[in-house]
Amino acid sequence: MGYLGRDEDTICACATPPGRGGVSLIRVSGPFSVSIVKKFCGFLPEEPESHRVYYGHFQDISKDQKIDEVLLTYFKKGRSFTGDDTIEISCHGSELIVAEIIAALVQAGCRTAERGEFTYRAFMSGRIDLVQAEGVLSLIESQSKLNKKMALRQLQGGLSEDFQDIEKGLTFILANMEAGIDFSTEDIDPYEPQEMQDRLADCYAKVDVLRDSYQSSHLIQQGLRVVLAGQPNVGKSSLINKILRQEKAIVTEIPGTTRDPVEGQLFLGGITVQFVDTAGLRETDDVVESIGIQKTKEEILNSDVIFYLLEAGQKLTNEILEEFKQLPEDSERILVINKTDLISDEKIQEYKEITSKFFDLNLDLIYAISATQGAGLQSLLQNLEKWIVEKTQGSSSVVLSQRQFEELRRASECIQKTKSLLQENESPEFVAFELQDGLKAIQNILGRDPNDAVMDQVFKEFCIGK
Amino acid sequence: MRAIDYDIVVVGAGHAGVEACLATARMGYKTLVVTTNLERIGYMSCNPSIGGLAKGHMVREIDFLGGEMAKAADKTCIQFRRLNARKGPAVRGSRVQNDKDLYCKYMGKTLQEQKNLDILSGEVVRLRIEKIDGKARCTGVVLRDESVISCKKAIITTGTFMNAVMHIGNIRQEGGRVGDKASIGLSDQIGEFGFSVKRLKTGTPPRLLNDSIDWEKTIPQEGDETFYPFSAKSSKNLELPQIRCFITHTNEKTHEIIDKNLHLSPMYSGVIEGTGPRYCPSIEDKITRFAERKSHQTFLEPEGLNTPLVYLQGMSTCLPEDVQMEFLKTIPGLENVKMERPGYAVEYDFIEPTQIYHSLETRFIDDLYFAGQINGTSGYEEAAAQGLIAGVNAARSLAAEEPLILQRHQAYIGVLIDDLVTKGTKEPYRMFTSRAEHRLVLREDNTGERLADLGHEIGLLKDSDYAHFQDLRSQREKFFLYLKSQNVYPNKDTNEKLIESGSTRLVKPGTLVDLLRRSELNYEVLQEFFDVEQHEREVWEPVEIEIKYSGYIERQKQFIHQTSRLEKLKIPKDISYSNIRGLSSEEIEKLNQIRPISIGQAQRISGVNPSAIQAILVHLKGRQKLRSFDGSEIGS
Repeated sequence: MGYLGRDEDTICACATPPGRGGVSLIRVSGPFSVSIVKKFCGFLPEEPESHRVYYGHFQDISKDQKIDEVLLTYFKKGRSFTGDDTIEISCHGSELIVAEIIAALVQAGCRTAERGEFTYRAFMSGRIDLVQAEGVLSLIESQSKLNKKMALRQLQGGLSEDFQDIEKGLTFILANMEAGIDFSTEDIDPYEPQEMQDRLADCYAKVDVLRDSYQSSHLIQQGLRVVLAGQPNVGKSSLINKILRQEKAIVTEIPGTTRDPVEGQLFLGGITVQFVDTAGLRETDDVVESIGIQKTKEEILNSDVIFYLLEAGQKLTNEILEEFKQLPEDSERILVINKTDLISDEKIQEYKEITSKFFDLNLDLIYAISATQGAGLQSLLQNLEKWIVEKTQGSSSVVLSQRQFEELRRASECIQKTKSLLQENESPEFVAFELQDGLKAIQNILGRDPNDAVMDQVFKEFCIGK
Repeated sequence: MRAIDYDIVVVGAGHAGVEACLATARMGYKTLVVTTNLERIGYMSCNPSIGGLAKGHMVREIDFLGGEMAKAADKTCIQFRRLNARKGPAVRGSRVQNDKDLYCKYMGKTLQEQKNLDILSGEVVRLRIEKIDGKARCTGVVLRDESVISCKKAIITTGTFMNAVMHIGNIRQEGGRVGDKASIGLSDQIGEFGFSVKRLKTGTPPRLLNDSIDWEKTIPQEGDETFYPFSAKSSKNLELPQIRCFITHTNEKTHEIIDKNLHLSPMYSGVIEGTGPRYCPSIEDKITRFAERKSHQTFLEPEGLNTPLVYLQGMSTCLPEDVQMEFLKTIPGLENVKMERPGYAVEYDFIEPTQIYHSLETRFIDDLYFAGQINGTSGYEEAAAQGLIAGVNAARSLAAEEPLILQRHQAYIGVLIDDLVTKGTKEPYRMFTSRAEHRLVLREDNTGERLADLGHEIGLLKDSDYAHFQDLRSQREKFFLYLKSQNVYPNKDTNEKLIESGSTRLVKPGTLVDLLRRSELNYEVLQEFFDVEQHEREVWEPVEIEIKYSGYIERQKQFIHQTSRLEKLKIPKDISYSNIRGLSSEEIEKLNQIRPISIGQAQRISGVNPSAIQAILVHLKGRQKLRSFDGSEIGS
């Protein structure tokens, strides 16, 4: 669905550019702005005063901890940029903090804004003047041309064909149901419930394939999980701290300090990358630590990428080899040699070659870094970013937007529901109601629904939150 | 006897004309209805039945808006059936067989007795159109003898009669129905005013003689035992004796004869250019399009209690008479059949309905309204619904009131008219439940809730009828509150009763409403096992439906809420699409042709892309700076 149907959602987005700055600004706008923000900021009055700043802590209720100190500026409906109730949250300039605040808002019922949506709302509520409106109009013009091109490209790419297949399948089933309703007294062959079930199953499978095969959309949707693993005290916490540029994990010289997996996010290659620090994998009698190790094993299983850390010059034992071999193969395994500041450059090169042979691993997948001094870190992250870009924009995979992905999921749910309603022998108008919803979702992806807005794309040209 | 000046003249007294003239006369306007055949007022030209899915819904809607069709259908019912009775509440439809003669007589008498209404036998050949303040207006009608009748508003309901030609084999004959002349001249004049006039085709099956049929070889079909009258005011007891219909089937021999003679059918030889209805194909169409089928079902429907005529439903044809006879005789029961008259096809002019407003007034000529088949529809119910709305709006216009425009979520009639004026039609338009995107709330059982207030407000639903409905509504509301207040607890007694009634145990306390939600329970079962208030079906059934399907109904209402926002965004009448940036020339053409009244309507126009809708929204917001546009501007 385009903007038209979703104008009443409360939306949020970061209005300041990504990266590290002194202050970040998150804008929340829509009818439920106050009640949503108030869930995390108890200090905000029920009916705040417009254009006033409130100071307090943004509290993560689920973990019962403070995310950050924030300033809230409230703009009352009719007196804000978008015309709706708006709250601007100023927090410390950290991508991690911004990500956590946005995640919390989304959990509480906000939707992340599509590109240009704030501007769109501002325009629709008459907050932007005619000159700016002209700009918007010329964008519509150019965008519909661009859109035609994009549609053509997608058609050639075969994506449309897949969706058209599903559309055709669902339309066929729906047509049969409708005929069964509207022509029940006439001489038509009623549909075979089993045939409908089979066809639905077929559509469902196709939707499923689309959902699964586009790893790119998955990555865009879920983000990438990078898990740091390795023996105790090889510097996993130092590395994650360096990556996230802040003291998130406790770094000590006592092996086994990190017990719970510690997480933080970065934006790399256009997606969210979740870094997870884990307890070192070693045999231990300490109960608390062994729970930590159990969690580590789970994290490793759920990872997309694993950074397996070694200390430069460390003795390569069978125990380490076993541990490495046990890492899941469908995760991307990268060997990271840490603490390179402790040995000479030549030794580093030598050690890399030894480990390559020892682990039977391509040299491309081995990096040497110094977590404390930052050497080699950039190359590691750049290569990770390259890898992400390849995965998400490779020629064989098609990038579905978040909206398209949502529609696909809705279609999948509706088809599933339709199947069970058919099995339960529900009256056909209700079964049809469910199926129509699923079909609508597919048509939205294809841009066929009259509600679907090319303008969604237009406003994508504007930067989010501006 | 008749005055020469009328407020309103209705041309035609078919199903649309009857409702139109009754509405205007009842709303207090001096009305004249002109018909070429006084004997055939509200005549059922084709099948002897009213209602069915979606159509039955419309008949009830007509009733709550103060129309006549429902009462006439109830009074002359000779068989009642509730279609899809075992399916869900939104797709059940009432259908009656009628005594054709009695139906027609009832309507004739109703018109004769109506205050403010005169009936004239005559043929309207022309409209009197005058330019007033630069705008063409219809100020009267001209009869065959060149006499002129002045009026303030004219409603044209000429059905299939304009430039009508009947076909049987290669025999062509002017006329819109056997026994009635065509209306020549009117559509040409309308065309001269810039209206696009097109051709459609319809057909009717042979009429058979009762005593020539061997009924033993057919399968009888009884009506239902319970009668649910269309009109809230009708007696729940049937007035006439009830009849049976009969089913028989064609066979390979039948198909062979038709196939062999296809070249003699004017539809296949290319003589007929008009498009026929795909949903009501002739038997020629059926055996061609569904060649794999060896047999087609047909119903033998008596046309009344005192007539020998039998209607052969599903067998419309325009093959030559002798071929019709030949294939009929291959059908079981019809071996010795005699025809009273053969089936035939009719080709006629219709006016592309995108050229009228939702009020049914025409775009190019003020004070002129079109209703019924002239707008490309098919069916008595579709015609009656339009006649009623045209009448109401002509009268409201005289009273300087806003037109009555039913929304798509309010009534099937709203769907009908919005579809016609927004999308036009390529074949005769018939209503189906699947045309209504808000089907779950457009049910027969809640017609009163949807329309009674409106019917009363426009002045057509009589005070006494309205009071009757209000009483019913309050009984339903009270009953619902009662069910909500009746607690049930998971004790031994309750659970035993539940198991006995085929349900499952209760785990936590609830109310009777919770029990009614269970799919295996209903009011009748609850009554048997629990101590539940006694009510008439018309009280408990709608309440039960609202409870049972509340999940779906709620979702449908949310959807309506979303879409109605767009319906409320009105587009000002004077908008200039060519000045809006971002619209393609095709879109400008479409929008100029349809002139949608709201953003909601605009997005239903085929060929108008979502980007165009956004561009219009953006343009309207730009205008806001210059004048007031707050989303509630009246744009029609």
